[in-house]
This record gives sequence, C-alpha cells and structure tokens, in this order.
Amino acid sequence: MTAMAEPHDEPKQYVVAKVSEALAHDPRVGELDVQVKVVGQQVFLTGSVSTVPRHELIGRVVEELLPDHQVHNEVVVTTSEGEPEREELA
Amino acid sequence: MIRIAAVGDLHYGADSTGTCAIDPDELSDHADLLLLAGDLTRVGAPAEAELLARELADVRVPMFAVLGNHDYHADEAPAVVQRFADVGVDVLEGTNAVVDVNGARVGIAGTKGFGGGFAGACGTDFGEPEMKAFVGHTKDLAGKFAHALAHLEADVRVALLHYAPIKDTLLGERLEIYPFLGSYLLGQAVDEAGADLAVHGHAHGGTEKGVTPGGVHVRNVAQPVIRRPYRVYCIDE
Repeated sequence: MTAMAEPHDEPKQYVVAKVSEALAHDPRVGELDVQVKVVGQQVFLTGSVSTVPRHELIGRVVEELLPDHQVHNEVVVTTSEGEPEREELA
Repeated sequence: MIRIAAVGDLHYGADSTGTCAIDPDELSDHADLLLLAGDLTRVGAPAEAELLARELADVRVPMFAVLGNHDYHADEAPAVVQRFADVGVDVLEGTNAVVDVNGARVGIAGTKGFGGGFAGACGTDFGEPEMKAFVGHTKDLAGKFAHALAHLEADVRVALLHYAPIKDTLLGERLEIYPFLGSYLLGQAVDEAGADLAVHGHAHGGTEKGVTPGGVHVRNVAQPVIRRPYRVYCIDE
C-alpha cells in the first residue's frame, strides 16, 4: 500500500517550493531571492526588496496561496540612498 | 586615475520610479563612466526598461551595461536593449568597447554569463541534451567574452558580468545555489585575457570583494550588497 498524505499534511519542503515558484512566476512580483521557511502553519519570508509596494505584494501573494497559514512577511526594504563609496584598487 | 562607477540588480518595475538614486550631476563629480551589471528590470518587460532608461537619460558619463537573467524573462531582450540604447547605454554581450577618459583608453568587455558552478563542484556538458545546453550556454558566452576581453586595446581593462566569475563574492549565499549564481569559466576567461577589475551582480546575498585565482579584483555590485546608488572603483591608468 502506498502511503498517501492528506492535503493538510503536505511536507513543508514542498510548501516552500510552491511559495518560491509563486513568487518567481506571479507577474506582480517576479522575485527569486525571497527565503521561505515553513514552521507548522506559519510561513516566514525573509530577504530584501527595493520598494515598499513590492514588499507588500510578496506578503499578499503568499497569503492568497496559503490562506490557512499565518504569513510573517519579514522581507526588508533596502534603500540605495547615501553617498557613493569609493575604493582605490592597487 | 580612472574612476569607474558600478551597480547591478536595480530590478526596475512599475513601482521603482526614483529608486535607482543615480543623480547625473553627482555621478559626473564622482566617476568617469558608469557600468550596469545586469538585472536592470524585474521581469524583462520593455516598459520596465523604459522607466529606468528615463532616469539615465540625463547621465553625461559614458554608460555600459550587460543584461541579467531577469532581463530575459519576458523574451523581449532586443526591445529591452533598444530602450537602453536610446538613452546612450552601450549594452554588451560578448562584445567590447573602448572609451577615452582624459587621454587614457578604458576598455570594457561584457557578457551576461551564466551558471554551472565552480571548479570541483560544477556541471559538465555530458548526458542529456538539456544538460549539454545548460553548460554549453555558459561555455559559448564565456568563450565570446574571453575573445572580446583579450582583443581590447586599452590602458585599463574591465570585465562587466552579471553572473559571478568566482566563489568569493558569493559568501553569504546558500552553498546549494552556487551553480546557479556563476561559473568558473567566467573567472578563467578573465584570468586568461587579463583585466584590472571584474564587476558582477546577481548574488544579492553575497559579498562585495573577491579576487580571481589569477589575482584580478572582483567586485559584486548587486545593489542589495552595496546598498548605495553605486560604488566607485579607482584605477591608475
């Protein structure tokens, strides 16, 4: 007999892969560099993006994909402001 | 002294207007040329390229770019290249260019590059057609890039890449994805042809500074790494 997991028992590594695929292929996002960790019914998203709207979209896409999970969007918004730094190469 | 500004991975999308933070006047004060190390758009849409191109239109120093993997996603790379060409960005792919900076010739050879991994843990063009195609793409681009770099007649020679040529600048990334972040074939091309500097992007979680096995300075200028509008590297001609 082949062991069949119930849908709610989907191994977490497959859930991680599903989230990563969605973030890459959803035309609203197109992000490849978001790290995904699933702990029970909680999803933790980390990494960095350059705009606040993109940060919010990432959380929304995962919430739509996994409505039965609690999504922790810990992706940070990095800015590129500030004086350019200079290095002299010997 | 040649001052080279470089940045990659701007990932411009509809929400990005104003985020590249490159001020044309300030850039002219700080640098003699600007290098863009690929992933200039989010999903390779010409409209995204247009948004960034508009912000680069007033830049007065020479600009050179390579595309990154994101810039190919929409299968509209020629239109993306055209948007940048329209504002004076010379997009390189297996090609080179030489620009005069205060009487010194600065040569740039560029390629997107591709993955495959690094010596001792890399893919081989063996077996299935798909595997041969994967590694073959890297070999093809690295070969054309090596030729372009080797044939530069310049006082200062710079390699412009998107994918990484060495492992050092990937430090901080997960080891499992190194084969998708770069290839030793790019580093070998840099060492065989010779260069004063190689810049790349692609590895957002990596480290800025590294060196090829042959001793060429390598800098990862992905914006999430440098967290500035650009970095400036100064080289004596």
